[in-house]
Amino acid sequence: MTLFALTMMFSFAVVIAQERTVSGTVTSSDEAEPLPGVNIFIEGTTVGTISDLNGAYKLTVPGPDAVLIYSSVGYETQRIPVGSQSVIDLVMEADVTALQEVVVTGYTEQSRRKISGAIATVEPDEIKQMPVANIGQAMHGRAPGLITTTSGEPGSPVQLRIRGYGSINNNNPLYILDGTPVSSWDIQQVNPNDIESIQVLKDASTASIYGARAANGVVIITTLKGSKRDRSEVTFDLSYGMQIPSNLPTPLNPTELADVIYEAQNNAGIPPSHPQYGTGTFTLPTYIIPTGASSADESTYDFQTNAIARANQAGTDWMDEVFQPAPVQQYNLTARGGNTKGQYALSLGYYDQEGVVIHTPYKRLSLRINSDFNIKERVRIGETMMFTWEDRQGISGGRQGTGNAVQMAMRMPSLIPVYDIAGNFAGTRASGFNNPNNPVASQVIGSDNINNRLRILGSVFAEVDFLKHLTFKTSFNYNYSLSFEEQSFSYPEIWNAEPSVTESLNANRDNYFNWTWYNTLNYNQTFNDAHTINVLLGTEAISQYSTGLGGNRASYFSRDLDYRVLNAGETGQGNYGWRDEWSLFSLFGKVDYDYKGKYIVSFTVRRDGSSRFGEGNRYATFPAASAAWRISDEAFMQGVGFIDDLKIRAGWGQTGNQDIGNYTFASTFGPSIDYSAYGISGAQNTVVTGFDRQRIGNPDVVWETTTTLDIGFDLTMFNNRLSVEFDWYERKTEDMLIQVPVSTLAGIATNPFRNVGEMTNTGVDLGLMWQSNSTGDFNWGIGANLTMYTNEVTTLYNEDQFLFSGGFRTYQATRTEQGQPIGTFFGYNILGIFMTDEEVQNHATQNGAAVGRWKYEDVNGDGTINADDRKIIGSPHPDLIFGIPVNFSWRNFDLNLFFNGTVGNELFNTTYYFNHFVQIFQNSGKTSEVLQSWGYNGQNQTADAYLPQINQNAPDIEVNPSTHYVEDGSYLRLQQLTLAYNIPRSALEKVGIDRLRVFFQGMNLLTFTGYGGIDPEISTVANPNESGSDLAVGVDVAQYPVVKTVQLGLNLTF
Amino acid sequence: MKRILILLVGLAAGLNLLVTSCSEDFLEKNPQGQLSESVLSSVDGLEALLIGAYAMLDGNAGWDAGDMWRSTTTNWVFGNVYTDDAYKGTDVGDQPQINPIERYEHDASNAYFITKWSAMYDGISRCNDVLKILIEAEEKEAIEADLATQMRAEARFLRAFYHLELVKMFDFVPYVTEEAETDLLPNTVPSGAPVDANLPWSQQEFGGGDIPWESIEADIQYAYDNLDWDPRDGEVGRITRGAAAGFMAKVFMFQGKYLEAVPLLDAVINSGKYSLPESFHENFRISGDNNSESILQVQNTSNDGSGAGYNANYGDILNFPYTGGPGQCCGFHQPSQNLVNAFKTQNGLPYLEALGLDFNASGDDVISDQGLASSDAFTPDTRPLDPRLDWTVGRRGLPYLDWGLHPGRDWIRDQTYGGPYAAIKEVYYESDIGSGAHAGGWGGGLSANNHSLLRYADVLLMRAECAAQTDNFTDARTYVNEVRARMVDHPENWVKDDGGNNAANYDIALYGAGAPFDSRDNALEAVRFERRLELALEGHRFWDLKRYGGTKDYINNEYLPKESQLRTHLIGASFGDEDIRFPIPQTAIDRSEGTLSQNPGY
Repeated sequence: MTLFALTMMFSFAVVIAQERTVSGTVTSSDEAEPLPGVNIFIEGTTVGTISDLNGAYKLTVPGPDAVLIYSSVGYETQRIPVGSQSVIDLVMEADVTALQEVVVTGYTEQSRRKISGAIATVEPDEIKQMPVANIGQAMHGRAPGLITTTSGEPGSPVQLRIRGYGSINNNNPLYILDGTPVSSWDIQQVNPNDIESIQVLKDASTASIYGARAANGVVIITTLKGSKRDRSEVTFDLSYGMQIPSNLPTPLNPTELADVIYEAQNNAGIPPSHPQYGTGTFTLPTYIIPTGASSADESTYDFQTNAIARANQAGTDWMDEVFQPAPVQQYNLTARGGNTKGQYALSLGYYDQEGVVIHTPYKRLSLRINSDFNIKERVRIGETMMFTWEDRQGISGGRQGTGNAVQMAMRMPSLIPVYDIAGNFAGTRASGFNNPNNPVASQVIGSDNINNRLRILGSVFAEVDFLKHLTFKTSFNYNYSLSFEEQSFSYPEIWNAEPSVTESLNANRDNYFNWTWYNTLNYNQTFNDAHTINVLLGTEAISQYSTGLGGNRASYFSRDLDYRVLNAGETGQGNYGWRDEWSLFSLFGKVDYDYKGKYIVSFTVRRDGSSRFGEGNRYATFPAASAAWRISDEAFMQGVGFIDDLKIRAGWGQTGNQDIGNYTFASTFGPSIDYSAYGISGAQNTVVTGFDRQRIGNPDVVWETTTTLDIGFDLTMFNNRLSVEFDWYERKTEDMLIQVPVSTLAGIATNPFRNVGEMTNTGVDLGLMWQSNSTGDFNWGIGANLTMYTNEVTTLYNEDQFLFSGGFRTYQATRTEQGQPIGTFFGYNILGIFMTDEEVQNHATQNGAAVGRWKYEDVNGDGTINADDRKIIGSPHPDLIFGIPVNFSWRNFDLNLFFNGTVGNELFNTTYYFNHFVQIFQNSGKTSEVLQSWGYNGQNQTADAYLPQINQNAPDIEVNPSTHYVEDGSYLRLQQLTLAYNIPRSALEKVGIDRLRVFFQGMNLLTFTGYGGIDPEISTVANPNESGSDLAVGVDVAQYPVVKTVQLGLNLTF
Repeated sequence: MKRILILLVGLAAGLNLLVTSCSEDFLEKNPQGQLSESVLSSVDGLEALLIGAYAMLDGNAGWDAGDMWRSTTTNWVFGNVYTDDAYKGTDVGDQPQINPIERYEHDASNAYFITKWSAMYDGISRCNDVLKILIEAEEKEAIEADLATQMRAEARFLRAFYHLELVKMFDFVPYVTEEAETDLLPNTVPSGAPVDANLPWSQQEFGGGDIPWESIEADIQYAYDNLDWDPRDGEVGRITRGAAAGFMAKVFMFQGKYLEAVPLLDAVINSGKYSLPESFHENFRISGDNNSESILQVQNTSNDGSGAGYNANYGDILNFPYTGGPGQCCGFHQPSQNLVNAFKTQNGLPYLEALGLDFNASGDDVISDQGLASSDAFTPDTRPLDPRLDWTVGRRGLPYLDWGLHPGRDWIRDQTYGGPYAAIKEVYYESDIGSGAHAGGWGGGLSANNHSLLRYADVLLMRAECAAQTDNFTDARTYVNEVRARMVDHPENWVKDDGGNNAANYDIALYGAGAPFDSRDNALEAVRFERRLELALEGHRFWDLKRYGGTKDYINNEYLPKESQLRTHLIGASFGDEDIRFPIPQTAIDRSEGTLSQNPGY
């Protein structure tokens, strides 16, 4: 084999007689020390060596035409023609521009110089220098074209969108972690400290190598690798901080609330009365006596029947009870090392975050073992392995959305104390308080719920160099997840207005297994020192399987933690289970060609077969092509000295989306003991099984296809001080799968998907960075990542077809329709408040119209205000999303600031439904904006008062979605401020420490916004994996807010 | 170079072949735990689909359709709260969507309407699935003709039943059959403004609206022609000829076709299959499920393996006393003072105008504990009352099944708002817990207590009304007296106190000759009053009022002025012409691609 390879090599190479030896020493520019572990090889070959501990190397070269490539992580790769030299001493420059870096583009790596598509890189240094919970937060605003939303909830999934929205279905990008496809839930479990690099394939010309799954872009993440430098390095990172809730709404105090309740009745012509405040005029009671009890005599207290509570006349601040400052801490221990024969990286991480909402902690323990071995001259094997243990406590899945603790805190009347006179929980059990649950109690009870999850994810691979230029790789990747224990226990919260009647336990387990096996052949050769060709061929098979089962029981004799097993429950036995499978089989190929890095072309094609489509529609082919021209290398540009590098790129390609659930092609029926069984025989305790339609299938469903056109350039100027990255793109999605909400006459079943929609997304990504690069003590840089897109749903089956989403209670906040962007806010337009009877008379007929009530726009001009007068009242899509990194360094200090924000988007605040309208959930807590109602206390009697007159019988229309709910969501935020000090080397050497950095970090310290809700950064939904979640972007349902955090930390290397 | 290329191509091709050869199987992943249509075209499959169609009789299509208490076929909101029989109850803030319905101020976006609509059309689609797959089974001779006909008859009846529920709500609804090629069927609403809500239902259809009466009749007729009086396989939940006859008569009566209704009602009466049990209360307790009076009941079951009790009377889950007693929740569906007053008797007869009396006269309410705490002393009214009252309405100081004496305000969430009374007919006995009643879950109160969709007393009273409408006063009186007789003849079945004595001053008698059975108006008043007493809170009242006519004047001029003095949240409420039917749900219109039109006035 060796002989064969050599022969082949020589058949292309130069004259054998000129073979000679080159040697030298490599040193680093920053530390002026010998640099071990530098890869040195002859360009166009795999012949090479590695510098030793003293930075020395020796290599035999074929002749003077040979070119040596010197590369090392963190340093600029250098290309030195040998010529007549026999000793080449080289100073490696620390890498200051991204231009020379190698990026992972799917199944291969490529020099960024030779990329003709649009790829964004998130600098790993930026991730490592800030302790974040997950990769999503690390990417937040860090590259143009990335749109991330975060939730303040500990352990919540990554929510990332690349270049806007290409589909009404799932817009999650494909995440590839060391070759393993993973979901946004999985990626959240990855220790950010383990990340080596993040590349985002933004356009189809780069992403289409992933074909059917790549329509929303691909995020490629690689993790720690060992070092070949024959030395080991141990790093310890620590951070500890506090999260501080702020900007919480102000609830009405008991006096204000009582007054508002009486005002509402007075204004409705109803003699005011309230079970607690009395009839006629109100007085705040001293005691709250629950319904069913009879006395405020404290000696008659009985928890079951007479739970007396002292009224909190000063008012309970339920927001304050539910929110808390909460610590967050993170520890990482990383060891890396190895030599040319084998490398390892080991990492142990622990992350522990208390939630700012009480009793919502999250802990994560992660272990990573990555290793690579050169077992033969031409054979390399390796593996990556991640082991994660997650521990969530508290109310699972209930932390977001209506009915969560945040919402309940807003709805609790402030007269009610948290505890009754005996120290038990108090609540809305007494008359006149509506039905919110005591959120402190719910969180405390839920705090014993268990939700532990184990994940093992990784790969084993082998690479063989068959020939000098031909490498075969096979990689088996796995992703296994097990809910180790998940259970929730509830018991009658009898202090609430509507308690359950008995204890119940729900326990469930699920299993998830995904394997991916891919094989690639990669041929890479440079001819005549000018023509480089790279050919990749591959196959990939993916199979996924998940299953789960669970059960519930009721009536527990004891609430003891040790008693909470299913078998101990006496009644109400129930169980359930499910199973799900899908598979994908693909062939793909890619050809890259470049001429001296000046003219670059790339072709990709992938053919995917997916089990998610019916027979006959399973296969689809996704082609792509791109080209780039490095103008700066042309002769005519040589005079333009201030331009270092200018590359113009254009790419076209197609990608697919198959995230529509597993079996939409099939019409199915199934049994449901709850909804299709019936006691036909008349027996009391038995039902006969019945079937009903569960899904209306569509065997004709085919892939969604997105065609992307991308034109851009990369430019560096002024000695690499200024870099510019610009892309214009157009993404056109055809055959968009729409779960057409069928006519209501069709019955209740999962609606069929149909390929009837089209969507266009056009936009501009612009990245700018100025770095001073001075040699002095002071350095600084500033950049801007700008993301602009416009989205239009061009076809949605037909013009009368609408998709509604963003539900709150019985309303929908958004409507998606043809000719508009996805998920626009839809409702009535409030013109103001009627000031005179004459104005009421002259206006269109409007149910309940009166002075002091809202006046609505008669959109269709038919003289009547009804549902036909709803219109688009806002858009969640910003005109601009920006991230502004700023850095300063002075001697051993460095200061990093990161600003981000949006301009021109609106938000829809559904919490106003509960908080602003006295007639809704009457007697429940309201917020202080109610005091700005028209005419309240003789104030605000103007046409532009914030709310209409308080009235118990206000017309229904006033709580409907309207412009009242819609507010400008633009904001500017100092998302991150990090001040770090690097302890001088001289001080550390004595104690054997290589590097020590201490830092202070503040997150979200400053926010400027006009938005009235808790926070303008609204996480999309509780579960971003849910298809269709993007129909309700920007709908505030009292999500778990993003909060201020301050942290101290250190990074220690020895 | 050549060799490299050959090697390269060969390797790639080999790899491809290796994996593609098995990829067809590899990509074959079918739904797990689900059935395809073809598997179901067998007798067993069809029987199970038919059970699925029956399962919607309770109106419970699951949370996907919306909260089950909105769509329940007990119709406690639309049939009772919407009328003079009941209030929403509980407190003002709970289920606020009912507030505008109770005040006749609802709009088309109110979730109660779309839930009812979606659930009933789900029932219809289940029937149509049976009918479609039945044809397939017949084509492949997988089912015998006789059985096929019977199943078809049951499915068609159910389809008619679900459509009838929709017609009762909305009047102008599309009729969907298994032959429909699209889900986008139009409705035809009358043009112009709503007509006078005082007109009887049979005259309401002015202006070209299309109520699908004929299609309903055709489906029920098929059931009538092909089903036996006895249920198939002795399964009492099944549709029988009696149910078909009774419902067909009801459909005719809605249309004012009394002459057409008579032979059907007579067929039921003469079938010998039905009789009134000696105890009225048998109809409202688990042990009386499917008694001899039952013509069609929703078969409720509990502790049947459904963890949450969805096969029990889930639609009524909110309708139990607020605390302390059965269910713990939530105190909805509170009977009105107006209803309680209707049970006053003089000489054993109700306070009819025809007898010169006014049941709802000012200052003469049945005494209640309104305004009193449970610890305050209270003596229930001692005036003569119809004994059915205390099997219908829970009152302070009287036995509430076996839960002890109703304690008054302790069981009421907000007495000022919801009044002093609690409903009883849907409630279970304490002694049923663990067997007939469901243990566990939120709200509680769920049980196997069946809900009667049609019972024999209803048939007798429909027959009496037909007689009165055709001036046959003797027959009218006979049928009314037949209903009253079981109370008159069986005082042992009146509500008793601990000592076995009558719990209140009960007095009921049969009508003698003369007034009120002496003129059409008087006789109709007596028959209608009897219907109200006998069928109170069973979900029929609104459609009875709609059938009688005069609804708007009655609600606005007689019911609301007095009732709103007690229930101040009714101040300012007013029944409008459009309120004689509910609006077509906004969501239904939004999703209809322009095929559905809104009812007049909304």
